[in-house]
Amino acid sequence: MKVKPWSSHFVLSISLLCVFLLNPSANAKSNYERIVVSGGSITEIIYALGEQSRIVGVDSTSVFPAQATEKAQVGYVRNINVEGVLSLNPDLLLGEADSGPDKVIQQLKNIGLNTHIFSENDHFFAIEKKISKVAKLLNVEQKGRDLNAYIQTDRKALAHILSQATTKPNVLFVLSLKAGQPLVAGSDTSAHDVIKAAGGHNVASAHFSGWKPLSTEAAIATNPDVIITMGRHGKSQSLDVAKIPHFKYSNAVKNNKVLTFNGSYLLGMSPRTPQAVTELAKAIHSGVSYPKSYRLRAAQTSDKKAL
Amino acid sequence: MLQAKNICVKVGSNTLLNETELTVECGQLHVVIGPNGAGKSTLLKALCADVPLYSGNITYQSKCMNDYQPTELAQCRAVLTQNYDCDFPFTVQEIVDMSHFVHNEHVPYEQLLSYSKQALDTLNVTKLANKSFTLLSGGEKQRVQFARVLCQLLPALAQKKPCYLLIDEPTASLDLYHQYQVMKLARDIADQGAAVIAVVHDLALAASFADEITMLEKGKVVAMGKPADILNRAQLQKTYQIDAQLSQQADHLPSLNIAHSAIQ
Amino acid sequence: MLALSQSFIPVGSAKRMLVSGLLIVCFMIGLISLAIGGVDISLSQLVDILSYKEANSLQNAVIWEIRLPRLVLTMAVGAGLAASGAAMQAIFRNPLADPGLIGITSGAALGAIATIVLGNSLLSTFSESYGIYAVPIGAFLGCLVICTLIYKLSSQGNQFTIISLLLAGIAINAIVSAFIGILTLISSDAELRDLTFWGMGSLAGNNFKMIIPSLVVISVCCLFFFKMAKPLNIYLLGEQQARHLGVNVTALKKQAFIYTALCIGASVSLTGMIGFVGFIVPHIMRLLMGPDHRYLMPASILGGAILLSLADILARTLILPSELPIGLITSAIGGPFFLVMLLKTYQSRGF
Repeated sequence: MKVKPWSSHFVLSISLLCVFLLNPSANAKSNYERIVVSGGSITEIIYALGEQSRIVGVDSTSVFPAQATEKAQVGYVRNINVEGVLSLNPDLLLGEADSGPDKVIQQLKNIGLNTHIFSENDHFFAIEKKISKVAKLLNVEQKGRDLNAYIQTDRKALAHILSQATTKPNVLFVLSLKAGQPLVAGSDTSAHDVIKAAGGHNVASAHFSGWKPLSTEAAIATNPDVIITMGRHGKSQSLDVAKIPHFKYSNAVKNNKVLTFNGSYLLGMSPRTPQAVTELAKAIHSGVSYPKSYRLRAAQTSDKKAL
Repeated sequence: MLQAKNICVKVGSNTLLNETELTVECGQLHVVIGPNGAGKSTLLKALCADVPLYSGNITYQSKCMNDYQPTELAQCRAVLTQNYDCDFPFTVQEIVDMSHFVHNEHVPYEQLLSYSKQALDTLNVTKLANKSFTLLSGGEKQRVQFARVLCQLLPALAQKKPCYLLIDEPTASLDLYHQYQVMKLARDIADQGAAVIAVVHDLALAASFADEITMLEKGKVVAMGKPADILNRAQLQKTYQIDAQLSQQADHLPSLNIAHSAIQ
Repeated sequence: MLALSQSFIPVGSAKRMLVSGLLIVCFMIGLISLAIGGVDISLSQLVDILSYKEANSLQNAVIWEIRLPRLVLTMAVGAGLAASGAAMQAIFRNPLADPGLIGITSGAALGAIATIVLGNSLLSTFSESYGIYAVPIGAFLGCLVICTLIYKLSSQGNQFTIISLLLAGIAINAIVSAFIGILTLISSDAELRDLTFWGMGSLAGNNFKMIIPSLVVISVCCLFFFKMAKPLNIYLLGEQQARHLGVNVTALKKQAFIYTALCIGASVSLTGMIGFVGFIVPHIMRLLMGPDHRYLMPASILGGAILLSLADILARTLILPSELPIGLITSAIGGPFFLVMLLKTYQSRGF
């Protein structure tokens, strides 16, 4: 069911690179060839554009695809290392809005490095805009348009599912159970956007914004129809969620609607996210189906096994 | 001259000292005695402002103690207390040299060094000079502290200025030989012109060296005068509840004879 | 005194030699620190850059914009933390005391975390008008406010007792950590990451313009600590004893507290939490050259600069091109080193 969409792009990018090498005058105005990326979704976009050979360093949130983690690491997106970046001799720093610390970004600018930090935080409906922007910066605008067209398939499939949906199920997103209380997504979170986009109602959004621990009784009172948990490396938290008193008696556990998604797949606001939301929408609504021609193409995790 | 007029010290509702009077002239060794809890140490602490006065006042050279700058008083008054809890491994030399602090500005450095040497010699601790204070025995510590206190007074003694030495139980952790050596030293310091006030437990030691004795009981002065006048059988019976008297043989210092019946 | 008392050199000059030795080591570490890093710079190139012979290269910018300000800040913060630690250990007459004990660092933490978390809402005008300076300023102000509070609580009438300072510090520490907890609870995901990193300390990203206020405060405080050396020595004999020897004890305690507060505030506000330096450096120096603050203070100042520079070299280079938080290095290296020192001392002293 899962195909590798990257390989074809890779071949394409190599051939394009050859063209550039043979014809250096073409597109000479801003051909960044040594890019440091801070932010996992940008890395994913560049890989999806097939331009990964131009990346010389990534931050620690760049975990998809798995090959990205083999690039030089310059630290966590909010805490990148100034000399680490410089030692890679880059010609562009491309970062998410939360790249930082601010003073380090300032230092890099002072030294004369080209930096482009996105001014807005990620949003489910701004993915195409971001892809276009990255494609423009990399001077591969046609590839950007191609990628966006590819994503429209997912958007259409999502619309198709939502048109069949008759209810708006109550959904709760549980990030982790490690602190004793489940850590839950309120409003103003990426999970909230995703639930909304998939046609669900985020039951925690009425109570708070951001990620907050939820007390036992408040959790029981929310009585979600669907619980979404994060799975990493194939391990699922859904069993644990079903066991704790917070959710033991909820509709979600009763009806076996505890779903496990990979975090970067569902929340990464990357080219894979529209497909992930479509998959989510299919799972939370009953009696809905994908459009006939539609099939899932992108990988949910970066594990090589899963791929 | 050191004078305490009508001083009272209270802690909460407890009266530790009640209308106590004390006058010590320069050149005198004045010993304060009394049973446990009589207020001897409290009196000494009051004299060096370690406890606040409830009423009364204390003057050094007719000037109220509280009107002195801290450094001004430290130049002419030294205090030897009972307990030293210093966890930091200073050498003996360093501890004695700390007494230079108030004299730095008006006494040449070489002079101060020679005072240190003199003080170490006098207390017989010169060979400990480079040892860590924390490694010394209790008696050695006491002598080193006395050397520091002596060194603090030496500039004033040398200039024949009025000066004061307050000592709380200097002999507590010393052997017999050093007990008498230290009291002899206190006597010598008084003879050189200082007013010395010492709290002493041992009545024989008090009788051997004191010019005058103040006897305290329950925070009040019960007797004051020459040792021979005060340390009589009746007074000891009254204050210490013990049948004892001083006796003195030719060529010997006084000693305390205690009746058999006293300890039955 | 262990190291020196057996030697035949007079003790005073041996200590002076040790302090000069530390000065030389400090200078060398500084050079090494300038030469090492993610961007390759050869020694001859470094000399050219420092003597203005080479300009307009990436290497030139890296030295003047990144490494030199960072080195200067590292040394100043190391020196400031170590000197404050020495002063605190003296004032508490306890070699285990630390500025964190009496709430000074927690005040800075509260200020910084409040700025990070409330910077988008309650404190947005403050945060916007000061930009990248907002968190350092917030931390410094937090430190001053909390320290003033502790100071007021512990000075009753003419007294400024160590026990009330300690109790006020512990109480304030508890209250402050509750506030920090509340702020953590209401923080967003991104803010939470920021405050976590603040807690681990970082020397990165500061240019000369940013570090100069801190440099001035730390230097002035170190100068005062240095001047307090003799009274602090005497103070170690005991409070009463020090007063009898002519030391104005109350003033000494107050000064030590104020300078420590300023020094810690100026350091921590720019770097976040850096543990262990203020505690371990004076300790090591005391083992090397005894408790005399006339030597201990300069030795701690130099030792702090050396230790933190070394730690920073490791932080910058161990996982290149990424970077480790400095606070983790100081604790991870400082802790075991300190234990070894402690065990050796106990063995040689026999207690």
